[in-house]
Amino acid sequence: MTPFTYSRETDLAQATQHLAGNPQAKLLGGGTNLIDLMKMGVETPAQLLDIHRLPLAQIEALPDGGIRIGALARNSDTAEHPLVIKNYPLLREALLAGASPQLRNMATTGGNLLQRTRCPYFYDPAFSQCNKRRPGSGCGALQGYNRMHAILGQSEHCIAAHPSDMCVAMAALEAVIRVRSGKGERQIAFEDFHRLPGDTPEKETNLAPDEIITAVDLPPVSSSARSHYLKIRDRASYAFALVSAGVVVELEGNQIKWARVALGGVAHKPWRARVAEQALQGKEATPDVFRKAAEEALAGAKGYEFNRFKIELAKRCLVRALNVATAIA
Amino acid sequence: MSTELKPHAIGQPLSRVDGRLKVTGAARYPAEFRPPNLACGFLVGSTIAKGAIRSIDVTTAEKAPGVLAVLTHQNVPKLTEPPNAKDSGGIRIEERIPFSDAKINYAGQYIAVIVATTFEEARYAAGLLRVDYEVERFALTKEDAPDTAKQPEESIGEKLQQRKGEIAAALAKPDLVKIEETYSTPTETHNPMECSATIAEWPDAQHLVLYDATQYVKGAQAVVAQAFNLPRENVRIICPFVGGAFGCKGPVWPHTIAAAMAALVVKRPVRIEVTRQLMFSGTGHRPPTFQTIALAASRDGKLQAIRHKSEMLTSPVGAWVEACGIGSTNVLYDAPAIEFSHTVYTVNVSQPSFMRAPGECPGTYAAECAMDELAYALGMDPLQLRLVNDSPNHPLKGVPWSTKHLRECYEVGAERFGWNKRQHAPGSMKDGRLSIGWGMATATYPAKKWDADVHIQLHAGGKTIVKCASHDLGTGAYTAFTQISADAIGVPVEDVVFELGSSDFPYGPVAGGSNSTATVGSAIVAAAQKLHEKLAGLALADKESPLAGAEAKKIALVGARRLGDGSKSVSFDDILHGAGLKSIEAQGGIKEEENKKLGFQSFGAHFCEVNVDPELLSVRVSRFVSVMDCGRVINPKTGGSQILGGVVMGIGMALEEHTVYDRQTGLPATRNLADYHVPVNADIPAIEVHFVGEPDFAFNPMGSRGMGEIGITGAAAAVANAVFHATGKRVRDLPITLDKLLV
Amino acid sequence: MQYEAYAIDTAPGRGRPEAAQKIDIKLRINGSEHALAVDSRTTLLDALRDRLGLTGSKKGCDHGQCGACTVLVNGRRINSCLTLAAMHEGDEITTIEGLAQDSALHSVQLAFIEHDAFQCGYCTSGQICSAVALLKEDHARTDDEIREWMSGNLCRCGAYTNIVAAIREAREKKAAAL
Repeated sequence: MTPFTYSRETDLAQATQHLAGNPQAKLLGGGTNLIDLMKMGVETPAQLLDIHRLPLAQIEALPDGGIRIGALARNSDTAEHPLVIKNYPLLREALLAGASPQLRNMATTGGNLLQRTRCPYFYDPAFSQCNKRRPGSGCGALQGYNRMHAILGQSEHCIAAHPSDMCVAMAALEAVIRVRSGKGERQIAFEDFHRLPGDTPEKETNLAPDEIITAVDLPPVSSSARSHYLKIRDRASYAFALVSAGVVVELEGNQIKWARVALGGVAHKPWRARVAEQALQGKEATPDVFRKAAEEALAGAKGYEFNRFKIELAKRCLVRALNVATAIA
Repeated sequence: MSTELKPHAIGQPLSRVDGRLKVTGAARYPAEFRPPNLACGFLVGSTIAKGAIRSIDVTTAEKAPGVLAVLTHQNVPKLTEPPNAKDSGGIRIEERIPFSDAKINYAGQYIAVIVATTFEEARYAAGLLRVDYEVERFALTKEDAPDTAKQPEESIGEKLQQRKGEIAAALAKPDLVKIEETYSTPTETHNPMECSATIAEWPDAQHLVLYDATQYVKGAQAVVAQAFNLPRENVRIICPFVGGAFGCKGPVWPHTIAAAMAALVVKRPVRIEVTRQLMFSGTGHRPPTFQTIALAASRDGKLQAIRHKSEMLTSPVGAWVEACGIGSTNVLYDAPAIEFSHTVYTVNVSQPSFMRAPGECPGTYAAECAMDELAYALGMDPLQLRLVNDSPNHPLKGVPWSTKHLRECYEVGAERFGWNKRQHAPGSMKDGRLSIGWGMATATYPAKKWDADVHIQLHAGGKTIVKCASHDLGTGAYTAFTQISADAIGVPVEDVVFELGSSDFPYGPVAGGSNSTATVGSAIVAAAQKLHEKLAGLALADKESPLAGAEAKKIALVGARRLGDGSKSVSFDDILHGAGLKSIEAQGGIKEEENKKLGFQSFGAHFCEVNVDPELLSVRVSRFVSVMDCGRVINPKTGGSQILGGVVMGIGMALEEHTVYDRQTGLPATRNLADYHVPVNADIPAIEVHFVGEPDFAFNPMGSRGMGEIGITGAAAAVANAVFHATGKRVRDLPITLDKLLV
Repeated sequence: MQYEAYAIDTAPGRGRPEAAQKIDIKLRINGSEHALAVDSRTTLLDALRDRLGLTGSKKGCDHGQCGACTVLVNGRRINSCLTLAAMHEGDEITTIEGLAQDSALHSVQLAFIEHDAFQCGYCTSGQICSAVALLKEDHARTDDEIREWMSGNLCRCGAYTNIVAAIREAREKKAAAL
């Protein structure tokens, strides 16, 4: 861990100023990812602005029927919040599928949004090649051990996958991220928040360096909509997803009024599968329809030596999630 | 051995005597000692797999705050180690002394140790080194290094290439049902929860104290004394608790030498904790194995030929053979023709070494999967095939087993599991959507007993202190030794204080090979006999003693703290009082002896149920029953835990564990506990453990055989066979991750 | 071929301080207050083990992947290896050393001994702290729930079956006491 100065931030406006004035500073929330990466030598901030006690942990109902989840709400608190349990069971399922109870007690909404990939070539600096950690050094995963890597939206510069479960649910729930800087507040649609790697895999989000995430808004979901989060992993718990699927579906009889579909473990960002949504909309909720939608969702997928299986697995995962959500099987 | 120890405390499910220390956090593990002025060492591993260090630029690191020294091959103290380092009396599998030259043999090889006043400072400075390497092409697989193939004659006293009968002719016979398949197991890493660690302290230039996480305090003492050219008694090894080991703390690894070097250089105590990352290269692993097994049986299932060819990898810095044929196909079943062979390839990976049931574990996996395949080829129930081939004799040595109750293991296990309800056809059993699979396998592990000495100090009216330089890795040794001491000495179990984990104590062997209870227990009995003889001598010499004038040969333990001759008796305390003593001491021990008339071996049976989602292919173990014949069980509670733990590790081996090396660099790409999966609580169902059999008094006075390793043998095969039964897919390459079932 | 020991940018400069900042903090642990000056980089776990002699909390991986370092902060279980000591001024920290009342062991500690819910003991402090929090969270209603909610605590000795039994018993005793 490189030396840094530490400051305890007590006021959002001031923290915003401190961040703006210091490009080498990092915000410290729950710490579960940042401190880990600092130990590994991947993150080397000159200054840590400890915001973990700023009053941004509330979860509150919005007038439109949605909710606002504070950036510093702990994952476990979010998962246990009555409004989340009642109106956003998908988010609860996804949160509880992630990490461990201890980590969920520490991890925050904002930190989870900014969670970085578990690609070993990124995480372990003994590997010299990583375009994300050292732009221009190459991608060690392309010809390396790429079992956990992306099959959608990747580039030859980076095939890392986004590891978050929470984000998959938020993608399917069409969350809106609220951020603040010295210039004021703005809102970022969830789909626009994370980036695909392209030729700048080091840029993972569209958050400006001086912006602080303050909350995530979840728009209301029809009370008759059903949802399911399914995570497939190599052990029963405490493991990152090989693939996951978060789906929200509203049925009218057996007809799909609309569907929201997101996949995890498959791309550099939480993967909103709009093509699958279109393939589902207006159709009968049958396994065949689900399978067709899954085929659509994975149509452009490309696998590598160790992760080709994820293409078929992701399809089956999505079909099963839709089956469970619609209670067909 | 004629003595048979009468069990009182032995056999009781005593809770661990060190339990309170462990549940309160008071048990002190080696890295938790705090000699004054303790500095911190941080190891830096090579990022290349083969080549040489041209130069290391340490200038920035040396100037970093808090840094006391940066040790590299350029400046470490040169050790005056004699050339026959292997014969020190301890165990060193990685033979190369750390930092002895600029050569890099494997990725992760230590190239430097940073010593600083704090951990934070040392870790930071490690990142400031700049290394110029000469990089060479390296080998990672046997295909990369075909020319390095060797067929060693022996490994750790076991003959590696053996045959009985004419194998080629036996396999070629007509009318036999045959199978021949290749099974592979990956690199597996021990990953005890406590990373290896050493605190080194030089009280003066001639004396060294090491607080070292080790399975072998006397071995560490011997190796380190030789490396630093010190008289053995000038090196002390302290290790009262070990946070798990599974073999990785048996040998002395480079970090221990490095800690002693560092402490010598900075002239203050230095602690080196191997990071979890470096546990994947610095403290051994189970190497990958490739085993081709041919079995031939007559229609009734009787084995006629067994051929087991094993290939495995080792490193350039030490010889290690994962002897898969030993303890599996050479002991499990008999046949007129048996042949096994071992071929080892040298590649640029770190040094493989002992890992829980080395050889037996991967060997029984392959052998017991092959038996399952043979059962299906025969159209026979897999359990029936085992029963048909249960053999009363050691197949190769021809001698009878001391005691063997494998049939009872099969029968009790089948009954508890409900095996008779099994439908033979793969994929035929369902639970709703899920496919159910039932698999079984035989477990086996040899009973070993080596040398040990034990010291007893009995206080009049008080505690009895018993000491041996042995170890408790979580095995329950403290408790089992306490129970054996109580019965052997003849004192209540609560009066015994057993001390271990220090080289100051009389000799104890490595806590490996499931030998400790048999070895140290036998030594306790021998020392107790010495103690009784001394007490009897005192009583006979005391004219006022009830035993005055008794026949010395007739005097024996007759009750708690009591000696008698059959008619009269006297308490230990009265004897001591009569002699004017407050306490009495005795020491005794045993030496390893080969018994050529009997084979000593434990056997057991595993029964496993898995459920498999037919579309998502996720495998979950849902039930497990293990029945073991390990002679007399000293403590069914802690003994049962040993078997449980072996099964859990076997489940991990079957379904999860795999250290993957990156082909481009040779670095382990899964060197952490998020990427190297060991089972979590949610992976493990209720596991039933039962013990059957009888005391094996031919083996030792307690009648016990070891339990640390047998639980893992065959366990992975039981899981793999259950997966086949559920899915009809035979995955012969561990771990059985879902991608292999999805194909 | 020129390599850095690690391919990371750690050199001084880029606004980084030359040396680590020393921070004066007061930590409230097991009911006692400890004043100490820590390196800003010091984790709560290292502060406990290296600065305060509270070595009951274990370092199993140092990366939040094993749970051996689990302690309770304001009654909630966290991984003390992934949080800085400096972040915890004013928090009520409970470690394994603080669970027993006087010399009476906590019911979870007793149940762990009775059910042999550990072998080497190295994960045990974390398991027990985690279990104490689990019971408070009411996430121990079934065996499967215990298994899932204890999955953040690895036990390489494989004592899981007994850990579940111990927690089940502690839950039943707790329910009976209410």
